[in-house]
Amino acid sequence: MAHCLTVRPLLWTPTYRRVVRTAFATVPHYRELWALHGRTDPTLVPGRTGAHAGATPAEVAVERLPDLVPLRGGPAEANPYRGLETAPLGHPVPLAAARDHPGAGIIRDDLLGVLAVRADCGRWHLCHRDVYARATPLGLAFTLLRQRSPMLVDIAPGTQGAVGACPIHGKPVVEL
Amino acid sequence: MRADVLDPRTDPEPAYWDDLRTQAGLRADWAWPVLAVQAWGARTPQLVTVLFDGAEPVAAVNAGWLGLPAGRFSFARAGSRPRLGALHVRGPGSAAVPGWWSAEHVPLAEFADAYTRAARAALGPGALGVVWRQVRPDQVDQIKHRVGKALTTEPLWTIHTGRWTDREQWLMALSRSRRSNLRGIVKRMTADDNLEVRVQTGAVIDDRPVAEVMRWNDAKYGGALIPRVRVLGGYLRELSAQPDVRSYSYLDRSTGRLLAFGHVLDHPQRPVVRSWSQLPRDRGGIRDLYFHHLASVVGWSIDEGRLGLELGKGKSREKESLGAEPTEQVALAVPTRWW
Repeated sequence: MAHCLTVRPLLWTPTYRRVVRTAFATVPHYRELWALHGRTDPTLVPGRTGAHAGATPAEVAVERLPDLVPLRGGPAEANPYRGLETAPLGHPVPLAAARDHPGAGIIRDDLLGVLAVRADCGRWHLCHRDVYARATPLGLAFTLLRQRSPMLVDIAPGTQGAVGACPIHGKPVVEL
Repeated sequence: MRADVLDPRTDPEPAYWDDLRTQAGLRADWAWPVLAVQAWGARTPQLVTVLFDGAEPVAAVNAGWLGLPAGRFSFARAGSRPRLGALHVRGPGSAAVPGWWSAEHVPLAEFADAYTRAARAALGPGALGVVWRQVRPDQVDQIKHRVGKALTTEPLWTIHTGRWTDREQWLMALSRSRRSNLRGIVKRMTADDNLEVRVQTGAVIDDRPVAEVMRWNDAKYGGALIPRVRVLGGYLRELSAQPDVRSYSYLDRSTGRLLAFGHVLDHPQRPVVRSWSQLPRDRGGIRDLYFHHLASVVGWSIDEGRLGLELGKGKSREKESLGAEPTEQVALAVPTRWW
């Protein structure tokens, strides 16, 4: 049974950390936020841990989309339907409404796209190939691991929750 | 001479910094929080070097460390720097004014020598040389020490506003066509009820519309090989917030849209007209705002009794027609000497 309780896929966190470092090196918003104020997990400037562990409220990210484009350039538009084509059929709800909608099958955010789908075990399984999540003082913060522009790292839609592992499937789930 | 070689990204503001800035007449782009954001947003490490005579700071130098490998599309790495490279001495964030100051009693040759030694000590044997920008022709020989290569670059333009006691005198010193043209522009803009000109000192600004306006400017001046990266929003906010910075906003009153934006860095004698950006006309911009802006800054400079207004390089024809005079500039590459 032990192997089923694997907390996270092997490369999930290392991939996230690499995305964080890339964002710090190439994306104006994260450069400024994490250099001047800081962040945690990983900390990039010694002693600077940030006001919200380095997370950005989703409404701020929406206002600053041009600052989320890497120096190399790229689109500055959010794709609210990202991930929908590969998600199973289900009724999509925003993160804030997921807890109160037992019939909902997909958590979809206007900025981040599809974040999680409800599995047969009834838990919200993160789309962990594309999405990383961690708990911050601003609530759950999400990172798109494969979207290069606009780069979305530690974006907090403003809903509290925890990241855990599904006891049945061993995959990352969000508990709201 | 003892030296402090500082990285404004992580080194705290030295206790002597405010006094040094006042003594040296270093404008707001040398304020420590401004230097810090500027350095975080740069593609190369930025180093501030202070030279001391005993305990007294007698010189300050701002330089970028141009090393290999360098990333075209990434900010300077924190914590490490390339081993091999050269120092590029220039004003922080702008090349319109020299990037160094030394006290009058320090001979220029001695200062340049002490700086090179300090840099070599801090950066190691990979420091191959120093490129000095905005050197005046009469300073060349003292800085280059017989070795080194000098190259004449674009002149810097200055309007010597101390010559006039009011705007009318300045206008009368211009050509007849420029004078009537400027009068027409000012009249047209003043009559335009929809145009709001807002001048703020030490202002809290929203950097987003400013960045949007600046985007067009960057696209115009950026090269294909080394594209311009626009400054961080935090840099615009920090610079605007300095008490000796004037922010000029041109707004469309009906939509609230920002049409143009400029910074002027004040100085007891020689303020600098720093950045100017405006929306192109096909994006809703207005013709001739630049002339309106310069006329208003010149008027302010005359009223305040400033000696000269530094306009930087470029747009020579326009600047000359506004009464500006050029100062010849030399870029000087001096290889590190090992003796």
